[in-house]
Amino acid sequence: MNLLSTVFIMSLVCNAATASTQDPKARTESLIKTLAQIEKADSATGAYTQPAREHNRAVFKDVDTYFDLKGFSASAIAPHKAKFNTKQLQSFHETFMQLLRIVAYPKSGAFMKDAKPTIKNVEPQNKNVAVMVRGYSAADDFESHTTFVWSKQKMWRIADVQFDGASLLQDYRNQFGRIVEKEGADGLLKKLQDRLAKEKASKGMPL
Amino acid sequence: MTTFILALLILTSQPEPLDLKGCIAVALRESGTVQQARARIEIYKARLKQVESVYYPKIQTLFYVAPMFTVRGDATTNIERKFGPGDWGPYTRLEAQFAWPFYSFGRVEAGKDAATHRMNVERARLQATEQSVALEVSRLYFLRLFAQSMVPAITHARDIIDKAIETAEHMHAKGQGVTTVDLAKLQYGKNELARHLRTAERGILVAEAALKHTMGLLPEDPLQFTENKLNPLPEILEARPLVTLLEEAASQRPEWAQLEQGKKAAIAWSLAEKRANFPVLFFGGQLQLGWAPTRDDTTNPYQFDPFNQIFGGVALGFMWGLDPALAKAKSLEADANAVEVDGLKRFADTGIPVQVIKAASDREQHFAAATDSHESVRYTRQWVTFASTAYDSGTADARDVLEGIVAHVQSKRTLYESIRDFNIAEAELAYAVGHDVQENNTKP
Repeated sequence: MNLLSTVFIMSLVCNAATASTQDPKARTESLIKTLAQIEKADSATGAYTQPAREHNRAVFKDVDTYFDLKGFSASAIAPHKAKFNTKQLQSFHETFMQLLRIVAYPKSGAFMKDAKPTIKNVEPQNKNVAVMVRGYSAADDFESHTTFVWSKQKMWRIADVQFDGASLLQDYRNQFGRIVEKEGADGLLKKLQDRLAKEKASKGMPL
Repeated sequence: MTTFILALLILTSQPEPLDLKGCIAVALRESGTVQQARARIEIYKARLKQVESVYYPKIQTLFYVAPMFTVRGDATTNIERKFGPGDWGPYTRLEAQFAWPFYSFGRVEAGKDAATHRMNVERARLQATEQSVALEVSRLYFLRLFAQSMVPAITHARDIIDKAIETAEHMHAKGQGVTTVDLAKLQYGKNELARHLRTAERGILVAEAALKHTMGLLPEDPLQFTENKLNPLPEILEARPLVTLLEEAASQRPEWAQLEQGKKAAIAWSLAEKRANFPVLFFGGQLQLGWAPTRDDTTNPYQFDPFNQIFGGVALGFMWGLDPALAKAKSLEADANAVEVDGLKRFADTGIPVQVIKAASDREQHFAAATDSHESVRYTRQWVTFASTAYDSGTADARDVLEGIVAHVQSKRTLYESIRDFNIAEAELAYAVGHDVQENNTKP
């Protein structure tokens, strides 16, 4: 491990130490910086290089501290929980959380790098705090209005993400409901697992 | 060192990037149409000077030297003529006339009035020309920005479709559920995007070429811009009351000055033509000198001797060229011109308010359209975002993402069209109320 990686991991440890004292706005600023540190996959092969994989492993762990992944996963499937047995439910959580990490984190990281996001608004939303971030990618002329909904736990963690005011969590609930209704719990699991396998195959996962 | 100097030369030869104000300032300075309008003022300034020159002193001179044979004697004695080689000498003659008109019974004054008012018409016309050049520059500037704004979104969508086609072809070949219809839809989408991209790229070139022409630049002249994308509109439209706009138009439009001065010029012209039959009074003087040593000088005052003489004198007189039929005809032409100006004024009285009302209404309408389009962009953006997240989790098809992208590009096009049209309507409103383009665009 070279000196740069050591310094980088030390900075992550320091971030974790201050995380519990930060408010949602500061946490959002910190999250944006952390996501922007995610290395992209190699453009020629589409896979991560070994150094990028090592680098990202540390960054992903740090990003995990911002998201309530377990709560998000549980909440996304909550309305349809009755149609899953224990084993299926466990498999769902494992697969879905992995997918969120390996697909959503790098995509968000790429956007944060490109779009130079700025915090536009901080306001209470029920018991939570919503922090609205505006980003603009000039390369593809795409503007985003992303709201991170922070929930107070031991430290502030993201319970939901809204795009232009629409909840991602709610959308997942509806998507999953439609698939479970048509194809059952196994159908949904298969779709998620296939997607995960495809991503792992193309990017050289797991991290 | 040489490389440094070369680099410095290249850097310093690059033109400053221009915004809309800068483009208008260049156009007002360089445009052929504006230069033509400026030249017309100079033409009428010169005509005024021509009329004024009537009251300036005029001198006519004639001088010549000619060979003259010998002549001896005069009208009362025998005359002897000699043509031998030694009998020739010079004959020198100078004739000068001087006239200083000082009164024309109002004819010159009326002509001066007509020329002055005509010059003022051209001054107001220059202002109108500047305003229409500024409007044309604004139109082309926003057309260029519109085309340029579309390029990133189309290019991005095309890149995504290219990747999708690659994957779909692979899946189609392996029999993994992608049908020929799916492939054909993707190809169709790709072709449509390619067409839109070509149109946008061509739009940039054509608008830029037309802009250069309007700005009075040559096609090869470099031109750079500070803006490469249409800016979003403000959230709230600042709209001034229509009454205020109409009042501004009533006081600022250069056409009013043109009409007022045009009418005065026509009246003065008619008066000048009516007085064309009046005489012009002048002080005058004459001087005649003749010297021919080979001829005898006749001292008899009753005998006219142009060869050896000194003659001169001053006088008070008048010049009178009487042509009543022509003067009447020209006066009628001037009267008809005044009637024509009245007609134009009536047209402007109704036409200018209509222009103001239309431009103000267009501006509001395009602002509302842009607000609606902005909402459409927001929804298609949601569409793309949520379709992408669903695709990323394996619960939606790539088709949902692609359809979302196409809808997003279309909604962006509509939004940019509305922003472009709003900006053009603003420029049209500024033109309709007669904003001073020199004041607004050439001063910091």
